[in-house]
Amino acid sequence: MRLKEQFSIRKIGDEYMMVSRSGSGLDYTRVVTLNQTAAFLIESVEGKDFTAEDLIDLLVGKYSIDRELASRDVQNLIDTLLKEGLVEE
Amino acid sequence: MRTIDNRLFFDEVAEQLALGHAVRIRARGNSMLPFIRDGRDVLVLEHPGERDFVRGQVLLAQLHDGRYVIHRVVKVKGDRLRLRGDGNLQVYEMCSRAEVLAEVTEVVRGERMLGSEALVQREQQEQQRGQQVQSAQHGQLQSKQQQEQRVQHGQSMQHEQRTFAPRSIRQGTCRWNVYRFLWPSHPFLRRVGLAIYRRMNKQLKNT
Repeated sequence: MRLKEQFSIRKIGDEYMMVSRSGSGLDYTRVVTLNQTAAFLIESVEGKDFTAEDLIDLLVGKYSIDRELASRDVQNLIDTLLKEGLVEE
Repeated sequence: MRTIDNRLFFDEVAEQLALGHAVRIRARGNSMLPFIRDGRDVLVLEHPGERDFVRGQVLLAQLHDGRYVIHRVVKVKGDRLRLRGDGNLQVYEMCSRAEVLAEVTEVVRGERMLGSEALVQREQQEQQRGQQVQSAQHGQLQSKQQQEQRVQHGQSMQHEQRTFAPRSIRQGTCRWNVYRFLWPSHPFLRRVGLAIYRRMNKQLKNT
């Protein structure tokens, strides 16, 4: 799967968010806020195809957590991204 | 409900505008009533370019104390601009041309924002009504899925299904010019106008 073209990740203060692009415009009325971990993962796979495994590897690599725990967290994130229409399979 | 600092938000907006991107933001505050309404309307901001500024334009400027305002130009004198919110009686701001970051080129008028519980109830009512409407063949259900986010109050996204068609007021159109030329500038007339507007709004809220 990959992040849909029209979304880009922006940081305002301490908040990360996905902002959608339409033409040459950015729409700040339709954003999805991300926590730091989600932002790290998304930034890492921006512009390329990725799988759940890739995200799990990234999490385990960065935070040294249990792979099973990482797997659950990644699945949650992917479910949310799909639900919010941010990624396409 | 998390909030993003206004200045940080507009710093970001300014950055995007400088790159040549148009930006859509939700309007906040009452200083441009009755033209622009808090929480309901969306503003399209564009970099002003090299054009001259004229009275009547609605501009985003950063004042020398750091505050950002989106107000109407009431006077241009050389490099100095005088701005005043439509909803302000006498208060005005001064800025230089360089402090203007964007021009509002479009106001997209929206429905009143509802809390999510009220919204769910309303959706259910409308679905019921919708079934009756469809069988009676009266009018159309315009269902538009609009996922709205108040960036200035950075909530995580809610799916909100609205049944309204946003009306867009573009710069230079008749409706734009009505607000530009017919809205009074005299403080007393404004006070009267705003009082009438508030009363009308209260009536709408009660229906």
